Amino acid sequence: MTRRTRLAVAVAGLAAAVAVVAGLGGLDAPTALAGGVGAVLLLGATWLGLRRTVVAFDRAETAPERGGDAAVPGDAFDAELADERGRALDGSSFTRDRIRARLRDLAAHLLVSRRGLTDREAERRLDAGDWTDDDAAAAFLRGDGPTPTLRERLAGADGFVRGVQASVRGLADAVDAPAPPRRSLGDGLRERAGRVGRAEGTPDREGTAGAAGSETRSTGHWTGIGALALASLGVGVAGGAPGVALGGVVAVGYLAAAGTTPPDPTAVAVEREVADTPAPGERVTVRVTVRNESDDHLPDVRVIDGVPAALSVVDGAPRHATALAPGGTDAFEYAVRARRGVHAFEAATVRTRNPTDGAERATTAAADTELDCRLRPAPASGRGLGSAVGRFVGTTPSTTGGPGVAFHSTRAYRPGDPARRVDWNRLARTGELTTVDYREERATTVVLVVDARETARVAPEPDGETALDRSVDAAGALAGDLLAAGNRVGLAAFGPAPLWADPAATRTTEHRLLRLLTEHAAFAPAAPDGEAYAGDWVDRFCAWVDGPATVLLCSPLVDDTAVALVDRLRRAGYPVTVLSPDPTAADTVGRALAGLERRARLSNLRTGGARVVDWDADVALSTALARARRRWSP
Amino acid sequence: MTDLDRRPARQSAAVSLVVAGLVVAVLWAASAAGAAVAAVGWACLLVGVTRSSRRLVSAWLVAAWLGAVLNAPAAPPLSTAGVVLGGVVAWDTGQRAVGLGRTLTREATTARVETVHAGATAAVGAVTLAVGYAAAVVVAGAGGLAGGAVLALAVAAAASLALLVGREG
Repeated sequence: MTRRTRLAVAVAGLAAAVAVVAGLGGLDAPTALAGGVGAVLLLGATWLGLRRTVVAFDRAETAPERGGDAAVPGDAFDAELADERGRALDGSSFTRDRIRARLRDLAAHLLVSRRGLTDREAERRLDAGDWTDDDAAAAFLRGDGPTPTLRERLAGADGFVRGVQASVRGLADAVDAPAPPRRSLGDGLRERAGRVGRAEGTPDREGTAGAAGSETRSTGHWTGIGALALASLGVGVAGGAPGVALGGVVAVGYLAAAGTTPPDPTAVAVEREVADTPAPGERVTVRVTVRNESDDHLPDVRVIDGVPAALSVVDGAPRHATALAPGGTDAFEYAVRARRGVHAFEAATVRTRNPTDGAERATTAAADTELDCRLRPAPASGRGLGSAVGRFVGTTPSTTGGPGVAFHSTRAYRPGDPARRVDWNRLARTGELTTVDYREERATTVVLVVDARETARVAPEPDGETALDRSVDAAGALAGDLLAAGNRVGLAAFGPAPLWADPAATRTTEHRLLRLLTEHAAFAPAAPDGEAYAGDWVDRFCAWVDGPATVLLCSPLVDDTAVALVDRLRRAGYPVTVLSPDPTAADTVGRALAGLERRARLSNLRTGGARVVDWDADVALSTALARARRRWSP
Repeated sequence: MTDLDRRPARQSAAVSLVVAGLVVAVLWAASAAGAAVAAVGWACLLVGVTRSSRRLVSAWLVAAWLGAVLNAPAAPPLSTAGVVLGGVVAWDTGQRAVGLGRTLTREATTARVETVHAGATAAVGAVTLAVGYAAAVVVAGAGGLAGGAVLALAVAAAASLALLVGREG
C-alpha cells in the first residue's frame, strides 16, 4: 500500500465513521466527528501496534574479541557420544563397542598404576563392578550397561550415554582428577558450535556484520512511536483531552526526526597504532584513532575494530562510540595478547546514525596494520632456565679440567693459554706463571623436537593458547638457555612438514633457531597436509643426528603416536625428556576423558623411564621446570 | 576470555531512570491514580535497564502513557503533553542503553554519543511540543484548547503520520 492510498483510506474511513456515528446516535455533529476521528485513530494505533509486536533487535553481533578456534582434546568424543544420545540399541554396535573398550582399557590402566593392582586383579574388579560406588559406571564397564531409567525409555534411549558419563566421572574421582559436571554432554558442543566463525549469524537491525554498503536503514529504535502517536491523538480527540492529543503531536515529531538520513560513514577515517614486533604472549596495546574527514557533524559514530582472527582481546574493548565535529578526532585503546606469526588487522566496521538514533549507515574502513610477533632471544638477565634445563637434558660436569666455571686445578703455563686463566695473584706472589684449570662441562648435543602435528594444535578452550604455540615458545626459550650453557642445539619438527636444523653452537645458532620457530611452515597456525609416522620419522632422525644426542620433545601427548615416538627414540638409544604442555579441560565428558587418557600416557612414559614435565596451562615454564626438578632430585 | 559484558550502558540507563522519576513526580502532583500506574512502569524500567530487556523498557512507556491519560482530566494540557514527552525521552534513553550495551559492550566508551542523543531527543520533543502548542493556541484563540482546535491539530498530525509511517513504524 503506498502512502497516498493509505492516506485516502484513512480519510474515507474517517468520513464513514463520522456519518455512521452521527446517523445512528443522533449526536450533534462536532461530538460525532470527534468520536469518529478518535475511533479511526485508535484502530490505526492497534494496527501499527500489532504489525510490530515482535522485533528482532540486536540478536546477532560480531565478537572480534574472541581469538582463535582451536580444537579442545575430547571434542570428537563428545560429538560421537552426542550421536548415541536418544538411541536404543538391542545388540551392540561397532562404535559403542569401541567406546566401551576404550574406557575399560583406561580403567584397567588406572587401577593398575594408581591402586597398585596386578592386571588380573584389575580385570577381576572391573568384571565384579566393585571398583566404584557408582552403579551405572560399574555396570557399564562390566559390559552389561546401566538399565535404562523410565525417562530414558520414554525418550527412546537406553542407558549407554549415562553409562559413559558415569564411568568417566567415576574414573576421574578414582584418580583425583577434575571430573566433568553432571549433564555436561553437549553443553560444550553447543558452545563450540556457537563460536564457529567470527561473525555469528546473519546481520540484523542493530548488528551489521561488516560491508553492508552505506545505504540508510532503520535501526528499529523508534518502533512503536507511531502507534503511540495514533493512540494519543485518538484518545485525545475522542476523550476530549487536549494534553494527550498534544502528546501525540510530540510523538509524530519523533517519527519525523527518526527518518532523517544519517551522515556518510565513509567520511570516517580509522588509523591504528600497535607496538613493533612484540614477543609471543606479550600484551600489546592497540590505539585506534577515528577522524571525521567531512564538513558535517557526526552525532553518532560507532566503530568495531577488525581484530585479527587469531588474537584475543585481553583488556578494554575494540569497540567505540563517539560524536565527531568536522575534522574532529577521538581515540580508544584496547589490548590483545600477541601470538607468534604475522597477523593482519581486518577492516573496522563503521556505522553512523542520525541524531535521534532512528537510522544508520554502515561501511568498513580499512587501515593496513600488521602485528608481527616473533620469538626473541631472552636478555641475559632473563635466562633462568639454565640449570633446570641442564639437569633434565643430562649435562654433567666432567672430571677433566679445562675452561669452565668451577675451580679444578692449577698447572704450569703453556704458550697459548688465555690470559684470563693465568693466576695473576700467584705470579705476583712467587713469580711463577701458572694457569688455572676449571672443571670442564662436557658439551652435550641436544635436539629439540617439537610435535607439530594437527593434534598438537589444541587448547583447553577454543580461544586459548594451543599446545603447539606453547611448545614453540618453550623450545625458543630452552634453545637460548642450552646454548648459553655451552651445548650444541638442533631442532626438528615431528609432523608432515620436515624440519631438520643441524645441531650447532655458534654465535648465530640461537637467531637461526628462533627464526625457524617463528617462520617455518611446520609451526604455522594451520597444519600442512599429510601424516607423520613415528617409525619412519625416527629412522630419518637417526640418520640425520649421527652421534650421541639428548632429545627434548615438546608434545601435548594427546595421542598414542607421541608415546610411540618416545619409545622408538629411546630404543634407538637417545635419552628422551618430554616437556608436555597440558591442553586438556574437564568441562565435558569427552574433554575429561581426554585428560584422563593423557594422564595415563604420562604415567606410562614415566614408568618406562622417560623424564616427563607436565606443564599446566596456567603455570609459567620456569615454574613447571622447577617443580619437575624437585621431583627428580634424590 | 570471559564472556562480553553486554549489560546496558550506565549513563543512558541513569538518565532514563531520572527522567522517568520526574515524570512520576509530575503525575503525582495531579492525581495518585496516574502516578501509581507510572510507578509500576518505573519499576519495569529499572529492571529493564538493569537486565537488558527491551520489552520491560517499553512497558514503561505504556505505563507512563496510561498515567498521562488517567491524569488528563485533572491536569493542565501542557503538563499532560509534558508527561508524554518525558515518557518518550526516558523510553528512548532506556532503549539506547540496552542497544549500546548489546552492540558495543560496557567496556566501550560511549558517554559522548549518549549525551548527544539524549540532548537531540529532548530538543526534538521540546520543539515539537512548542510548535504544536502554539499552533493549537493560534487555531483556538487565546481562550485555550477547545475541542475544535484539538480536532484540527489531530487531523493534521495524523496526516503527517500517514505520510511518515511508510518509513518508520
